[in-house]
Amino acid sequence: MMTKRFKSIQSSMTLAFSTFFILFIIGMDMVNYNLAEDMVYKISMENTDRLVDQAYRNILSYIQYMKHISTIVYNNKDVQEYLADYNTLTPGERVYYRDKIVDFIRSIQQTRTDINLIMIFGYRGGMISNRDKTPIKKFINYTKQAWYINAQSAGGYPAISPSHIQNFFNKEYRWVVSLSREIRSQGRIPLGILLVDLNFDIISDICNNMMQGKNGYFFIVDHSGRIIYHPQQQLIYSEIKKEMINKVITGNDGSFTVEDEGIKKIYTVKSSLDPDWKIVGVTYLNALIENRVKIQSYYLILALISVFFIILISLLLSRRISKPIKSLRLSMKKVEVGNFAINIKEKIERDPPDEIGDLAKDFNIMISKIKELMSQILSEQEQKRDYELKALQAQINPHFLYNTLDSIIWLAANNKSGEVLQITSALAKLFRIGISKGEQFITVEEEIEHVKSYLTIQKMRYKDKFDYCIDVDPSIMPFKTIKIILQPFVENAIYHGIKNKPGHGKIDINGRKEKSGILFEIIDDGIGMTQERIQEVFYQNNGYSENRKNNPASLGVGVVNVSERIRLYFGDKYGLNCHSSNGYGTRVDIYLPVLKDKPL
Amino acid sequence: MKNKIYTILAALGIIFSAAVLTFIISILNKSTISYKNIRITLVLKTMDPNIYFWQVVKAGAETAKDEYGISLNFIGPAYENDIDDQVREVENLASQNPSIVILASCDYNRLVPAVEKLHSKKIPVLTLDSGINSQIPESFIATDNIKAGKKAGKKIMDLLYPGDAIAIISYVRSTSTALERERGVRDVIESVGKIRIDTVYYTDNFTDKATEFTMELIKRKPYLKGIVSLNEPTTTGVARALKRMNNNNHVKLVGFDSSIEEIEFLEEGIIQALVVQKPFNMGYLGIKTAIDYLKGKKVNKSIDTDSSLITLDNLYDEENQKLLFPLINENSVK
Repeated sequence: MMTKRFKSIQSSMTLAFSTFFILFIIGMDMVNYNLAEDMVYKISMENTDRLVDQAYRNILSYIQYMKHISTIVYNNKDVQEYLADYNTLTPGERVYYRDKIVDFIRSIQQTRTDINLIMIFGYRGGMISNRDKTPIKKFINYTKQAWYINAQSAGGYPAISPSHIQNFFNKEYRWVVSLSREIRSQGRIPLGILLVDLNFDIISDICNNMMQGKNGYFFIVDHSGRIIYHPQQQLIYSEIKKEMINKVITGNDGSFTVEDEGIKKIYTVKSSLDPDWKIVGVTYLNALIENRVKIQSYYLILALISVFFIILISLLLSRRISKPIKSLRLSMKKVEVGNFAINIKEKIERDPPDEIGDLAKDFNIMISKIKELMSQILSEQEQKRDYELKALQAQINPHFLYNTLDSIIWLAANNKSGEVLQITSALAKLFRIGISKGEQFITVEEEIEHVKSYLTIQKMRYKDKFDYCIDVDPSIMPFKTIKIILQPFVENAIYHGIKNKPGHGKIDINGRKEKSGILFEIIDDGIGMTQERIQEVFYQNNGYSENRKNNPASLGVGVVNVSERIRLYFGDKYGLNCHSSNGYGTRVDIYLPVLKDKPL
Repeated sequence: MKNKIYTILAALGIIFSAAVLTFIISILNKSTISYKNIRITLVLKTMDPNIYFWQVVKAGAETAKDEYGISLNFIGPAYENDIDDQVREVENLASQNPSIVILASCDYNRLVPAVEKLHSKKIPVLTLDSGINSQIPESFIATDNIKAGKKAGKKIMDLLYPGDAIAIISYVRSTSTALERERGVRDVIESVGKIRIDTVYYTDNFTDKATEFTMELIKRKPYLKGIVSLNEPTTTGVARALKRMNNNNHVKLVGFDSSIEEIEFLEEGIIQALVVQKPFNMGYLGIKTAIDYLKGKKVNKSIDTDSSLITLDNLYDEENQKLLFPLINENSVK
């Protein structure tokens, strides 16, 4: 049952449609989604890129500005002299220089709130800061601090040290970035260290503000991977979070993507040469990933709805096709059992017509044709029977019988017993063959016997009125033919041709194979027939009855009867042909098929 | 007739589609709550901006918030000892229906009914820093105080000679954190047996009381060579006493937590070491654990946020600077 269902047009159409559309929708889903993801990814990337670039420029210009400030202090004449001559200066001179330098660096510091501290440490002594009177904590060994060492090794150029806590002063712990520089004399003699502490807020603010409202963060590392700024620094130190610092410092500038615990991140790296930092922007892509789930679920829902409708539509569509086919089949089934009174017109033929409608129309035409043929066959059968019946009836025509019996009596009265025997046996043969147990088909030989018997009887009656000659090819003798086809024409020849002719007449009966059939010829040299007479005898239905009236002694099987029977049994291809001319006799050709056996 | 059937089929189709749609959406919502739909409420012990510890917890939580793109709000009493206020605020949360509540409980027992109320409303609860007397919380995110105590105990042991005596100055007798820290100190000292614990004293969390007691204690027991103080106010109090008495490094001090004052005492050499918790990590891990829980990941029943031992030697190490001065803009004493 199941397999049968699946083989039906309806289910295979539904299956095909659904499969195609599901694949189509899945394909669309993937293409669309990938396009969308690529787009969002690209936009995020470009955004991050722009932000990093901006942060990079902001930070760089800031550092650049601070370097200028260090240069101003570095080149200051008072600073140079104070540091160079510290050992030889009198206490008074030291105070003088000190005050001047303090005023100078204070004036610089006051223009920039982001400068936390400017301090000068002389190698030969002397320590000056903008916070002149505030002492630094006594236990602090600044010469061991990173910024001090960095400055010494930078050879007179500014050194930027990573962010750290500046703890010089009591109760003050500030995050700063230190710009330090070794101050040297004109003769390149090291004089001391200049320290400019930049408020770290500035850099962290640049980084934070850049990412305001964005899903991500900035961080800055130096060339050795030390963190200058990272909003999650503590998490990294505690190893709660891992940062791609190695990848950042070993890789080139540009972007790369990292997936960490299911969260995708875009890293965009930009290097600065001085200071040797890498500024990195990180953008989270979880929004994108969440969208993916959402988009995919929408596609799924869409696909499910579409599949439902596709199934519905294909069901309906295939129903539209298969339903008329089913009803057509039902109708054919009825025809199978013999019901031809069917017209599927109203159910299937529609407007506008489609293929199934056409099929139904053709089917209807076919059925009506069959019906017609059936009735034709039926009527032909009836006709055949009718003609046969009439032919048989004609055989037992009482006129013929008593005329013949009269002849027998007359012969017997004249004691011509030999002739009595001859005519009686001919009569018996005539009837036996004429009736032949109701069989329609007899052999040619029998048919010849039949006509020979008839001629024997007529010859007895008309004596020397005519002669006859039968010449039949023996090879056609076993073939079958319908009975009583020759006798009517012989009768015709006697009564219409020879009887009315003065003198002696002759009848020839020939039979032979001709082309693919058998040809019989009945030729007389009687008075012949006019064209009208031929018409009357051969083609008019009532020809035989008139014939009978005029010739009460005839067997009266009409010529029309013969020609109709031939037509009904063998078709139009076979039949008879009559040639006659007044005064020269008549010739009838009967053309029959070669039948080796009687047809079923 | 036929059209009617088609209409019915179409209607059925629409109903069917709608059913599928709601089904899928409900499944999606259940299995993967999206980050932007996560609303976390973090209940602090105090909203006082001067209490450094909780400000850093907040900073850590906000870092996680930004990273995951969730929404987060903070509530809590103005003062840590206003337990009633915290109970009230937690109870109010039941009607606000947050995705999850992270609670830094002011009291071990009194917050339990409020948490039970949240639980009955199917709002999950995590505890942070201090736990409650209930099995309801899905996770407890806090410093492992026994471990922290052991660090302090080991440090004081290293600073002293065999046979030296120390005092433990604790804060609140019944507080679990105090008991756990003390147990950590005791465990390590008693298992080694190098030094002995002479006295345990409770300051009830008052700095002045700690100062007074320490001065009196040192006068009374001059043989004491070391003190372990178990929280920030206590440590500050003890350090002030040692400074005032011009201790000159005679009595070694290992304290807990960090404040600007404590760091200065460390720089001056009055405090030898501080065991410092990691409130930033606590805040961050609190939020992260909450998100993991909501996303259906398995979370540990207790999460240790770790502690560090800070001495003068490592005070300005990169990682410790960030730990001790986590907030960039607020490092100066007010």
